[in-house]
Amino acid sequence: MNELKELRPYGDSFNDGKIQVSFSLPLDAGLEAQEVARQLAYKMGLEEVNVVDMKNIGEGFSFFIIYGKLKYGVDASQIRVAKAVSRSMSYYEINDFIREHIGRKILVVGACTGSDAHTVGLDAIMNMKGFAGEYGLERYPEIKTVNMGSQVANEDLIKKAMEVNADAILISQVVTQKEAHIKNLTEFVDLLEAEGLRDRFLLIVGGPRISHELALELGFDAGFGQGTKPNDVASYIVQNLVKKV
Amino acid sequence: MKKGLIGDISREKVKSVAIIGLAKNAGKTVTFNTIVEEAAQEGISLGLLSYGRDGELVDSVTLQEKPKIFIPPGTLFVTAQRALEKGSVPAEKVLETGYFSVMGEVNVYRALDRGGYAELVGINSTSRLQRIKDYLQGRVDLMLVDGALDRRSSAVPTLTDGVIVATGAVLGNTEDFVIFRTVNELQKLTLPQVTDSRLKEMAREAMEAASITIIKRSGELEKVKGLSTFQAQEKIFKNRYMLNDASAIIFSGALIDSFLEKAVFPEMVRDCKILVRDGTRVFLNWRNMNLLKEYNLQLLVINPVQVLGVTVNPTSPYSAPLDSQKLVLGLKKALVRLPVYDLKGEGYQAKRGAFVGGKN
Repeated sequence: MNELKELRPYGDSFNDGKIQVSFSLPLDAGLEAQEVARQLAYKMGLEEVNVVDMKNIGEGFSFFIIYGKLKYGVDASQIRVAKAVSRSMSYYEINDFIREHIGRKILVVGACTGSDAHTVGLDAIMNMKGFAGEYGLERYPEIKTVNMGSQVANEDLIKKAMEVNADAILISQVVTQKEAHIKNLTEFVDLLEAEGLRDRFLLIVGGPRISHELALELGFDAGFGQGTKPNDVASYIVQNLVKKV
Repeated sequence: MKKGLIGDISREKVKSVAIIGLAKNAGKTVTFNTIVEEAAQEGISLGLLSYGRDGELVDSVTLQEKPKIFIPPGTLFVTAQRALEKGSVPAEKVLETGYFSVMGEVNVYRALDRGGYAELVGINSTSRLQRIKDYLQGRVDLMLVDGALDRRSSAVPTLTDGVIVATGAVLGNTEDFVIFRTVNELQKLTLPQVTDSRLKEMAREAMEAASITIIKRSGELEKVKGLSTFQAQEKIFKNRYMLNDASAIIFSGALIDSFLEKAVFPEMVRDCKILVRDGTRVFLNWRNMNLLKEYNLQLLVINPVQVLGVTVNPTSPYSAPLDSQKLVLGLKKALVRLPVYDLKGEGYQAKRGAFVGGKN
C-alpha cells in the first residue's frame, strides 16, 4: 500500500504526475498571454510547464492547453469516503432477498420536495423503465411504490408515508440556489423529529449535489449521488430493513 | 466572576448545552471551540459530541476543510475509531456505544496527557443523543453538543438544558436583515412557557392521548387522533367548526403554517391559546407568527428552550463581510436580556485576553 502514500496523476509511468489543463484568458493570443498562462500554471502547483497550444478564440480572448507535472500527491491509503455501504444486488437477487428475509412486500414513498420540480433523478430510480439498463423500483414485484412527483411539501410527504405505512422515504433534490435544498432537507428531518417519527423510516436522499456524508449530516440514513442505479438504492433499502427489524 | 460565554453558561447552572446554527456557516464550530477552551481554563470537566457529522475532515457542502476541535485532557468525547486515529489526541476507550459510522465503531473516549485534536463523528439522531446523555450525566460537569447545518432537534429541552444560537452574515446581505431573521427564529425557539398549572397538566395528558386536542370554553375536550399531526389537521380542515369556541389547541407534534392558514385563520379563531411541547416543534413563517399576535392567539410551550447566548459571525462565504459592531449592538438591542458576541471580534478577544491571562 506504500505506493499509495503520495499518489499523483498517472501520465506515462506511475506517479510521474503528468497532467493537462486547459483554460481561456481574456487576452489576445501572443507572447504576453502565453507567459500569463505559464505563470498561472506554476501557481497551480505544476512543474516543467509546457504551453503546448494557444489559439485566438475571438477578439480579446485566447485558449490554452498546458502540460505539466503536479508537485503534490495525496495519501490515497488514508482516504475514507462516506458511502452508503451495501452489497449491490441484482433485480432478481433483491426480490428473492425480500421474499426470504422480509416475507412481505416493502413500501417505498418517493418525492421531489420543496420548490424542486426536477423529477429526472427520482423517475430514474422509481419509474418502471428504470435507468441505464436497470429496472426501476416500480417494476420489482416485491416492492410497492408511491411516486408523489414534484414540489411536494414536507408535511404531505410525511402524511403519505404514514398513511401507506412506508418502510423507506426517498427524497430527490436536483436544483438549488444558495443551498436552499439543505434548508428544505433539514426541515424535513426536524419535522419528523418533532413528530417523534424519525426512527420509523429509512430516510434516503439523492441528487447530483448529494453525498452520503452530507446525507448523514442532514440527518438522513443514506445519500446517493450521480450515476446511482435503481438496484443500488433497492439493495441498500432491503439490507438495512433487515438490520432494522 | 466568569466572563464570556462560559460565564453565561455557568451562571445558569446548566449541565448540557446544544449549539445550534440558524444556517450553515453561521459559526457553530468556532462557538463550540471557544466554549471548550474557556471551560478548560475554568477547570470545568467536559463531555463533547457532534450531532450529525461523519467522514473526512472536509466540509461536505463547500469542500473547505472543517475547523478542528481541540480536546482538553480528561474530557470525555464521542467519536468513531478511525476518526480518533486520524486525530492527535491520546485517548482511552471508556464505553462502546454499539453504533457504527463510516469511520468505524462509535465509542466514548477519555482524552489523556495534554489532550489534542480530533474530529467528532457518529451521532445523528435524537434517540442516539439521548443515550449518550444518559451515560455522560454525572460523569462530567458540562455536556456540549455541536450542531449540524441548521438542524434544531438537538435543542429539545428534554435533551439539552440550554442552547447557544449561532447566527451570521450568511442569513442575509445587510445587518438589518440578519438581525430581523435572527430575532424571528429566536422568537420561535424562546416561546413563553404556559403558566396556568391546570392547563399545563391537561396539555401534558392531551399530548399523550391525541395528535391535536381542542379545549372548548365550556371545558369540553375534542381529541383529534391521526397517524401524525398532519392526518389530524386534515380532519380539522374538513370540519372547521371543531374550532368554534376553542380556548386552547394542543399539539403533540409539529405546528406548521398550513394549520393556521387552512383552519385557524379562516375560522376566525380569536383569543385562544396554542400549546406545543417546545420551540423546536414550531415551523411557522414570519407572517403567520405576526398574525398570531394580531388575532390575540397566544403560542405557548410546556418546556421552554433556554437560550443562553447568541454568537454572530459577520463573515459569509457568499457575500461581503458585514459590520460586526452594528450586528452585535443591533441584536443586543432587539434581544434585550441575551448576551450577544462576535467571538472573533476585537471586543470579545480583548475581554477574553483579560480573563485568560493574555493567552492567545
